Amino acid sequence: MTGTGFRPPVVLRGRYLELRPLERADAAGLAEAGSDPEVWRFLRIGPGHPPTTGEMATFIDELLAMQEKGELLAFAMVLRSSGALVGIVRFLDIDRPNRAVELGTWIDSRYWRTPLNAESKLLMLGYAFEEEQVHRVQLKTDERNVRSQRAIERLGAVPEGRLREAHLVRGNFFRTSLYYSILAGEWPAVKQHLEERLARPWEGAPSAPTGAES
Amino acid sequence: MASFEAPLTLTGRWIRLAPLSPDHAAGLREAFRDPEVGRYLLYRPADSLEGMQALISRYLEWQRTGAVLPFTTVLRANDRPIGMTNYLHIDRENRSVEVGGTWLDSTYWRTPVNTEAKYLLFRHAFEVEQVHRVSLQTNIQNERSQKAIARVGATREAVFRDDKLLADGTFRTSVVFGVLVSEWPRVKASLEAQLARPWNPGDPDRGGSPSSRKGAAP
Repeated sequence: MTGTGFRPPVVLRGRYLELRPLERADAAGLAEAGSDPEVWRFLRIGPGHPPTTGEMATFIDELLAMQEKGELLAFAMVLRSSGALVGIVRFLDIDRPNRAVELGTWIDSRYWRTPLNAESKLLMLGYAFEEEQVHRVQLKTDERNVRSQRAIERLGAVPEGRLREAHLVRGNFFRTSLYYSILAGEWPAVKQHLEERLARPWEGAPSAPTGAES
Repeated sequence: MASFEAPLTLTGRWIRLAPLSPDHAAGLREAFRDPEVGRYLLYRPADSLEGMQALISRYLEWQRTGAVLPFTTVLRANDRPIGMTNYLHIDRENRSVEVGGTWLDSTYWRTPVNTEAKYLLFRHAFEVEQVHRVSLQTNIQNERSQKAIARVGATREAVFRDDKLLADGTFRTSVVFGVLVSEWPRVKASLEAQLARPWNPGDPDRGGSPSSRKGAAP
């Protein structure tokens, strides 16, 4: 591996986004980015409703504790034009012996259907396959979350099946998770496809601080 | 959910699942003598007593992390170790566990031993530890194991491509199966029916195989 072995600090820059190490001080900005309840509806972790700054700080602490153990590498998604925080992306279940990793994302719903998700995937997958030389990147989502399934399929990830009632969501519901993966041999095609999507202009791209971070 | 804490012994009609111990190394080494036994194992011991001792140490090390609880399968008729099996990926947060890393002296393939081991492990997981789900997985190339898992009543759920790097540098594709707590009464009844059939563990001093099962190993 030529990367850091999935250990902080790692900074990844694209045209619209900077992915930089998640910090506790991001709590207020991320609470604002997560103010739409739809963001939390299907997530396995997190407060399950628009988080207060305190809840977001607790959530960040949990992620950083897992990061400390080497199981996870979390990034704050920062919109380069304004400095606004727009979500979290993270590598989880980092499995060094098997050269495998999972990729998880949430984004401010005001940026759904913008190039931000595609760019974050391009940066994260590029890091995993090219810097860390992983063989497999896994993605999973709640079987009820059709929007996320479409987004994962648009990436070109291959559906692999469903684990029934495999994840307990906030102590009261066992969700069925759908699994997808991209293998190293598939990365060049996935990358080319993402680059083509990102070459299209972003209508309404924020060029300066906007209402999105008010 | 309880804790999957060691030491735990699960006793059935034919076998006892005893806490894995370094004392079992010689017996397990003997049980492992058929090379087919280890063919698909992720963690295959070297072909020596030291190799088996190292495998046992490795599992006991994992046991200390709390995510694994390893057992020696002991044939009650003669008190001999005939294999290993484990609770793996003990996931208290999601109330799930995997049963795996199982291998068995090929003399006892296609006998009630595997069925009873699964029965004991599932029953403890669902009824005592109150898990919601038990997973099993195997190499997609291992058809014998997939059939055995299906016979146990687990549902085939996913195929994870190239998810494990093997010692020879190739990646294996894993097939994952699951049993849910809501399915446990049905699975339990089916396992009990399978276990009600007669079986003679044979002459203990000869390692215990009725002659009719000769050739059970593929």
